[in-house]
Amino acid sequence: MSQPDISCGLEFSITSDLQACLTQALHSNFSFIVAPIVHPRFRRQHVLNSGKVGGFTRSDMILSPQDWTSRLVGKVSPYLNVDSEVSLVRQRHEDCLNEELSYCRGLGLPAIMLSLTSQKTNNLARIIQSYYENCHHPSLIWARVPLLNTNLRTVANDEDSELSSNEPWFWWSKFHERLDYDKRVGVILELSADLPSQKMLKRWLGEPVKAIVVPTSIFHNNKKGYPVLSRAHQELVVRMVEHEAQVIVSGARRHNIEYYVQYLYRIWKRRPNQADDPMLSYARGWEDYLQIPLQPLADNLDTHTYNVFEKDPIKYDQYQKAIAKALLALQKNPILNLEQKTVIGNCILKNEQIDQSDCNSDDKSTITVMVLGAGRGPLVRATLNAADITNSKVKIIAVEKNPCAVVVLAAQVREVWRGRDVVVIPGDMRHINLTPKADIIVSELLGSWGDNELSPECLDGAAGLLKPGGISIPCAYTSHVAPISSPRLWAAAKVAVSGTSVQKDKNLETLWVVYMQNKHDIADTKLVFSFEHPARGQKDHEGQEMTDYRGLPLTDNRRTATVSWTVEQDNVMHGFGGYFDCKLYEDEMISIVPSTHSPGMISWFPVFIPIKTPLRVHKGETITATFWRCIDTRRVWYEWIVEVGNRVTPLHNCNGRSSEMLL
Amino acid sequence: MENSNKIIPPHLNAEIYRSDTSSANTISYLDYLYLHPKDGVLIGCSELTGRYWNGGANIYKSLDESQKKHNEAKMTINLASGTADGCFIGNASKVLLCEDNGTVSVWSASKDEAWKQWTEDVSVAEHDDAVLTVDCLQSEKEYVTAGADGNIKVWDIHEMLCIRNYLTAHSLAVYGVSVKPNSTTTFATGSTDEYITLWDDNISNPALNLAKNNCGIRCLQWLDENRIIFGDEGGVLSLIDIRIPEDFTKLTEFPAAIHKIKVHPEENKVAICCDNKIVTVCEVNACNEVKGIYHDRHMHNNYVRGLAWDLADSKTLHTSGWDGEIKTHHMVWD
Repeated sequence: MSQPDISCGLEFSITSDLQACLTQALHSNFSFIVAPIVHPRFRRQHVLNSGKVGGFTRSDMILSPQDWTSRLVGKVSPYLNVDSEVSLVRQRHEDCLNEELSYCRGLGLPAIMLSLTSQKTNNLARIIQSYYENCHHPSLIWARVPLLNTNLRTVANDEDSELSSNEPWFWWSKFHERLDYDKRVGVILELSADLPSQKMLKRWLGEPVKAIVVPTSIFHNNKKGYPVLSRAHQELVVRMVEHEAQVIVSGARRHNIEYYVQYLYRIWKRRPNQADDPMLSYARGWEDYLQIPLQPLADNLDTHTYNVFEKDPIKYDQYQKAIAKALLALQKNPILNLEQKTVIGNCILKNEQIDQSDCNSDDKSTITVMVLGAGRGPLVRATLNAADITNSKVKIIAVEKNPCAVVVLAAQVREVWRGRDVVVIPGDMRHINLTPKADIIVSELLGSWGDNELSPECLDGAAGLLKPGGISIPCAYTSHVAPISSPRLWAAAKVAVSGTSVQKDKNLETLWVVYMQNKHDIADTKLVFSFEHPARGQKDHEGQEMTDYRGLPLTDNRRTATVSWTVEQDNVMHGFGGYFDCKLYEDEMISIVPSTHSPGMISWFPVFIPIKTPLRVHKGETITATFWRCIDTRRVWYEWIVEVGNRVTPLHNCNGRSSEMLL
Repeated sequence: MENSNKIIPPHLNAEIYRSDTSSANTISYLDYLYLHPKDGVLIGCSELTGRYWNGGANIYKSLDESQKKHNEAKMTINLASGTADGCFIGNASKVLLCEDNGTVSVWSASKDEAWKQWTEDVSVAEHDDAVLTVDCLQSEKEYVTAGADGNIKVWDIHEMLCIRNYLTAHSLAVYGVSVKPNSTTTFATGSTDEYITLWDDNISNPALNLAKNNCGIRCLQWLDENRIIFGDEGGVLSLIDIRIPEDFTKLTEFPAAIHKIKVHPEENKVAICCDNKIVTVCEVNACNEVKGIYHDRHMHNNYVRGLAWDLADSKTLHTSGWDGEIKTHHMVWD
């Protein structure tokens, strides 16, 4: 969660003098080394409890404990194949692997590297799992795969080369699946001179790539004789480092090794378009960090939360533009007002300076703007600005249910907005009754997935505050989802609130607000639920719009939506990315849908909607997801289900058992 | 052992060990053994478990000398890392050594008979991982090496130029390379990736995939111009006839991975050592059947690594092992 920087390691195929290797690497500005734990040619028979005397590797006293725990990634012997078809090999190698793993455990290495060479990893995954079971302070497991399967044999075999089982991504994905997407297990990508397609590279961005191995053989010499990478390789390195991967230099020392690390630092420093997106700097440290969505309706926000959200440079600007447009529209076509002059009921504070006669005398009629859920007043400010810009005369009524925020609003009315017609009304917008009615209601009640902070319920409840024909800002919003692959988010969600397995189930039936980085979109974003304001009542059997006891339209905010996508590349689906876009007024929009994201707007991170069991999806298959928005008298919740081919997930969050929004 | 007059505070035990570099380095693992037709013995050795994983080679005039002197600490050639294979180049005063750090080096002895000094003529570090095996394509001219990086390289050793570079020839370590008898271009390789592949150094692609085994290949050698004998991680000794590729015959099974095989230069006998202390010699007849004719499990007390048939007495086999010993086996057959 710190400022991203490039961290480089140096791999040694053999460490003749381990102390010297480490010193050399550190002097050349590498941060760590990757080295074999046991001499790669030292074959041995590990017989349990055989009581044989004699070390199978060098003494650990050769390095200081700090070096072992922070500077050295151990490589298990490369020939070990615990998933061999031959039982003798499988058993012997399993014993040796266990011996090496337990030695690593004793050393407290930060990470242990092993290689995946095919999709057969059942036994390996089992051994790693039991290693973790027996380990209190475990090392990370780094599973190394080639970025491209360069095996001449499979490439030569045309029929086989298309098979997904030949893809290193598949080897890794299967291995990780067998470990239930354990977050302690990451993948190491070994680059080759040839690179796979962009599509395949993008898919890797969804995986927990802990490091990339850059062999010295893929460097070219530039005119001055220094080692450099091709442009495509440079871009890949930068992209991976941005995704928190470390870089490991390996292979024959074709140059002074310092040149490699200097070059890597240079391409990282020179990387294009760094930090030109305010979201990137704002969200730094929040990458893939899961948060439970706010419930501003049930809970009152604290001052720090207000402080964060008020900082958005784009959102309030958009609101201001939308309010200005609405004011201009009303200047042209005023709403016919039935109840011209009335007294406000329970206002606690009113600017005394205002001359009551103002209302009638002017040729410009006063436009009443209600800010519903005014918070600490950013929208009041935006409305005042919009009035100034459009030269309109406005009366602002700020409704706020949070008593703490009301204090802040009242202070501003007294001190800052003296001379302006601003009234603060404490209370819940759904339950108060005010006259005069508003020409415009302005609210900001949207959550990361649009309606998930109960904006529809609040605004429908407040419908009585708006004149017939009045304007609601926002006037419409829509939620969107895209199926995504992200072992990291899924594993994080699973354990986000630790506890029993029941809790684990609950975690995977909850929406999580998260700035998603380590994920890959399996398909495009598609629309789920839409809402409009002011909302129309539902129709009865006779086609009449129904109304409630207050005469407000009886709306139905339940929704169902079925969305489907075609899979373009084999992948594993872990859930959905959820987004929204919103029409404030006319063409003024705000959006966090990736393709239309309002530039620079930082108020919302998307949501991650997990599924309980990740689904392996194949090219050409169809993912079909159904989402429900359900309501009872005191709460709202979502349910969802996903179908791929003949596989189907259980219904998620049935009856809102795991997550709900309280009314 | 005598008492030391140097008292080390017990709580500084680890620190003293860390900074102590004076300890003797034994390099006692004898990895390979080659005999030169005239007068030479090449023994490659490595240290695999000690403080330094370095290595070296000893070159003696005769086996007798080697058996007497091999315990002396002084090496003929010292290497920065261990060595898995090597060979004489032409006469007995020039050798090629494969090193664990990826270097291939050529060494030669000074003409001064009395005080023979070995010096490095040339070395190149182009393999990306340990060089595991070498064989000769054209004596004193072209040699082929293969390594743990999966690469195969053909060298012109005059200039030490890599004249053919098969990158990722195998996807995993190549443990064995063997040049076809009476050929200067064709050779076979066996790898942990379970393939045995035939190559022709005139062609940049593999000539033919001879076999896909069910576990990694550890060693292979041509029995004659058509038959290759190979041993694998599972301890199975098999034979493949290149006229009928992808179909191989299992000859016999050993209780541990087969480390090395050495075909007798004249007779249809094969010496075998595994990841154990046992030395075995088998006879392979024309019908691809084997018969064990020699078995020893007592001479070495650690893994046997090197095998060499005596050049004068055809019924004698010499072996070297990780116990640091060189042993001679006399056998009888008709």
